[in-house]
Amino acid sequence: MAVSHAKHGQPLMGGSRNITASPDRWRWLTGEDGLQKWVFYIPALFMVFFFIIPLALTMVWSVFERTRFWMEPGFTLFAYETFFTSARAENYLFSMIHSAWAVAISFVIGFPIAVFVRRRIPQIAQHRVILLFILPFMISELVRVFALRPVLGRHGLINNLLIQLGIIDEPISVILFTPVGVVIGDVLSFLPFMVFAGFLAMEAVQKYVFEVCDDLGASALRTFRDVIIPLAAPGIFAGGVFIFVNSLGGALVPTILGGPGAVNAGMIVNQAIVAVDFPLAMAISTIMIATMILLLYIGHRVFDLTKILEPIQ
Amino acid sequence: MDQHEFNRRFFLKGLAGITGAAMAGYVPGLSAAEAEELRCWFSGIAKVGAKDFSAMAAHAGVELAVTTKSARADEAIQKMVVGDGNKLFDALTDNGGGMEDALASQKAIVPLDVSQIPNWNNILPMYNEGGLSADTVRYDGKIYAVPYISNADSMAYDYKALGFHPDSWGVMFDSQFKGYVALQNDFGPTLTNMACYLKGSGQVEIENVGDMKPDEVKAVCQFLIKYKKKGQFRTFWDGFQNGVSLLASGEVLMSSCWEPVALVANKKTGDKREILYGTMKEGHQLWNNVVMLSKGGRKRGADALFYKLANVYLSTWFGANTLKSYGFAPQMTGVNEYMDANPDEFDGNTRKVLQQRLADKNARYAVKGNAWQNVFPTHLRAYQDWWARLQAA
Amino acid sequence: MLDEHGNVWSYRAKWAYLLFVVFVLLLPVFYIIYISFNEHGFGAAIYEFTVDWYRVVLGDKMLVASLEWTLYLAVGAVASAVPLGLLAAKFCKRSHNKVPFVTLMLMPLFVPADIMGSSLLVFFKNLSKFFEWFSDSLGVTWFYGWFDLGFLTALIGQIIYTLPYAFIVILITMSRYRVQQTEAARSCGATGWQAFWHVEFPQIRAGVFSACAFVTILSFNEATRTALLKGGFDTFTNVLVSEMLNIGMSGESYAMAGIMSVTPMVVIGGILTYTLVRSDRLARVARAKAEPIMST
Repeated sequence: MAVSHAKHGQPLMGGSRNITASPDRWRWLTGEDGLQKWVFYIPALFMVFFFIIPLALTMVWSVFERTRFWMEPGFTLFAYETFFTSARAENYLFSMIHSAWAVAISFVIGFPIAVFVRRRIPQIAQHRVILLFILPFMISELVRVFALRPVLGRHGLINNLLIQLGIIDEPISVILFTPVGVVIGDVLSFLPFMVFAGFLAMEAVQKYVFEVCDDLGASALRTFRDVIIPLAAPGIFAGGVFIFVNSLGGALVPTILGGPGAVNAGMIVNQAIVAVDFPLAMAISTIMIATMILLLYIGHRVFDLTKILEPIQ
Repeated sequence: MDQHEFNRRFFLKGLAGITGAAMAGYVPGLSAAEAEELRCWFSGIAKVGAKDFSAMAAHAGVELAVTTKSARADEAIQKMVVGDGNKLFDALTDNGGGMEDALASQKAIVPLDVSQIPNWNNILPMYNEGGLSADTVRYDGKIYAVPYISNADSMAYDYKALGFHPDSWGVMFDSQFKGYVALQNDFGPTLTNMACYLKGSGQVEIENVGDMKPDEVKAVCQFLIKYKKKGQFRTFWDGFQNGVSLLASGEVLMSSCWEPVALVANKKTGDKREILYGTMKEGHQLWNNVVMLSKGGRKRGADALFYKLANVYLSTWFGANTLKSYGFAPQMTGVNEYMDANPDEFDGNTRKVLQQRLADKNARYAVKGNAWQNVFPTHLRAYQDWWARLQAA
Repeated sequence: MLDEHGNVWSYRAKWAYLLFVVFVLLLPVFYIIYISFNEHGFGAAIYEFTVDWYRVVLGDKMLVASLEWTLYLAVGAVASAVPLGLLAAKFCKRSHNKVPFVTLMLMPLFVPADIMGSSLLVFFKNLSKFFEWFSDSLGVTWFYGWFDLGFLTALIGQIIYTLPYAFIVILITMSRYRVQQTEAARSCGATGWQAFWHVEFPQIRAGVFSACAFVTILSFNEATRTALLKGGFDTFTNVLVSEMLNIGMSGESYAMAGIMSVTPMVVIGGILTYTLVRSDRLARVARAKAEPIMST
């Protein structure tokens, strides 16, 4: 790494931002004040162009009037009214509750694994161990979730095992085609997200932290609650968000593992689109974004989310 | 040229688009005068004779480049009307009795000249002017679509477990089968079938089962809500594999489903179960699938190729094979004669089975209470809203 | 085991728990591989072992072509979303008011796939029209067909989908990086790029690679947006979805899925075993050097 650049006649020390190894003629491209500065705006521009603008379109459409096969410009809140009066709002709320359960259970199962890997496994092997959790994703989620049917069904693996062991006489039907089945499917589908996110966040926790806690006599629970969780908060937050949105918006799990009429937000949108009711679909999408902003706002007020994203001092 | 080659062109086109090459928008080899191949957006059930579309291509003498399509009603509308589907595809399949009206009204497909399709003369009489299904291929009096399969949706059941052959939808609501019944997770077929039952059994007054009024929809849904709350239904299924797995695994004993689901489920169960497809005395939902020519296809001169392919869809070879492989109803007359004339393709046993299958279908078609599928009923919103309430119950 | 104060049994129990969870997560995968060897396919009561599906799968042009497209899209998504995520994370760290930017970057997570696909579909159509008009007014055909449904449009849909994930993953990893190191490097005379590449990147490398893995996985599994925005090609997931809905997943599809899972399993399992064995040996060597008598 070249460090001294006396050829420009500038002092070595001084922290001047104009010290650069590049020749003058390229400075406009690679220099700090050149194009390089604008490079950082690319993601924001990309998002605005390919996401915000189409999304604004979505919100505009949600107030359009529906015609038989498409819609026509207008202004009506009929789609929103339909959402709140036709039991779709209830379906939406219930599915949020199920998603919250999926997040909670994933946290309980998955986060300790992340802590364990960070703490006890040799540094060099840590990332490789985490890679184990990528393996399930190599197969499409569709095929994976479908494979849970012969496991959870009345004549499936679990029931056969329990009956053979004599624990039950009749097969249990509550683990499939019920909200329980959906939560099980969500947890098994998205648990790795929590493990990844937790692990990445645990990278912020240095080894000595654990030793210090031990030396100070803190119990495992106290260490966990007062030290680890605050330090790993970004990862927990991220993992929670990933699981929540995937569980809420993914129509796959309720379709395959859900009971009669099981829906989540994604499925409600799906059904609206299949019935070619685009204003309603767009309205539900707008409501989902509004929900997110509301949740983030509440989270910000309660936990101060900016702290989560700040570097660990 | 196979799909792979076809795909390469689009990839290069996409790359060229990124780099802004001048002729990027024009796929080389195609002129407005005549297309070399037919670019198809077809469902997987639109083929027989081979695992891919090669047998279809061979019989038609047409190069086919096929992209898969799901059965969702909106996909065609989104891609062909809203999106640039007309630039991509010359031909597509979808449900008759609704989609051809929608696409034609939005000028995404073009009227057909059936004099160019010799086999149209053998089409089932119900498709002729004034016939029962004439509307399912026509819009504004003109023919826009060629039907290639149709059927009557009924109930599949496990004969071994039940011990009898149900002949009424009402068996599904018997309390001894609580938790062992499944319905299709689609408000169209399910509400139509249930409406056939409720009208036929005199429980609800319905004027036109295929196009119900809001209070009729409400009555049907309230009936279903009552039984859902009692726990009568194990689940509402969607997707072929889903339907098959429910029946084959014994998770449910009865399910309203498509005939291929019952046939495949029966094959999978071996001796454990016997999945049969019943005939319901109150009536069934009738439906068909059609193949259509897109506006873009006509612009690109794909007419001749399309008519050749459509001719194959109306040939007795296709009809006999679709009856054999999927169990759908052929759309032309003369299928029995074809089977008799081709003993190497259809041995004695197969012929017997297929002839019985065809006879069963005709029995279902003959039931008075049948109703044709209507993809876009007048009061679609009522169907949607009440279905949402049924789901929430 | 690194922690001498710890309990051996507690360590073993935790390892067992980890492996148990991995095993449960992989059960569906094992089951699929099991099915791929069945003559009669999924859900059949009879099981007849056969390798036929594997024999024909690589000859199935449609499946192989669809897999190629899946790979193209995945590579494209990683090559685009990860650098964008990196830039976005750095931008986020620099800016004082983080909340609006983070909200912007996270919003795509909350938009259902169907909606995103639909709005982008219309957006692209209008964009195409605009570009054509623009081209015509300039008298060239240069801008024709840029946003026709095809690879590029599908790719953009996937980038919008995966960028928030890449962004968050990299942001988390960056949270422990001390900006003072960059300042120190700069004051020693390094350019912005050099400070990044030689000082910062090695420390966030793990996060960037995790982001790559994440994006690849998400891209592999994505079906809805791709289905709406793609041109005349199919990805493997599209094929699976279409088969599952219409005709049932074929034996070849299960075989392909089997190949796609066994390969990384073998690779990752091999890397892991090698790493653990090597680290154990290295630890022993280190102990031997430190305390020659006590270490054995």
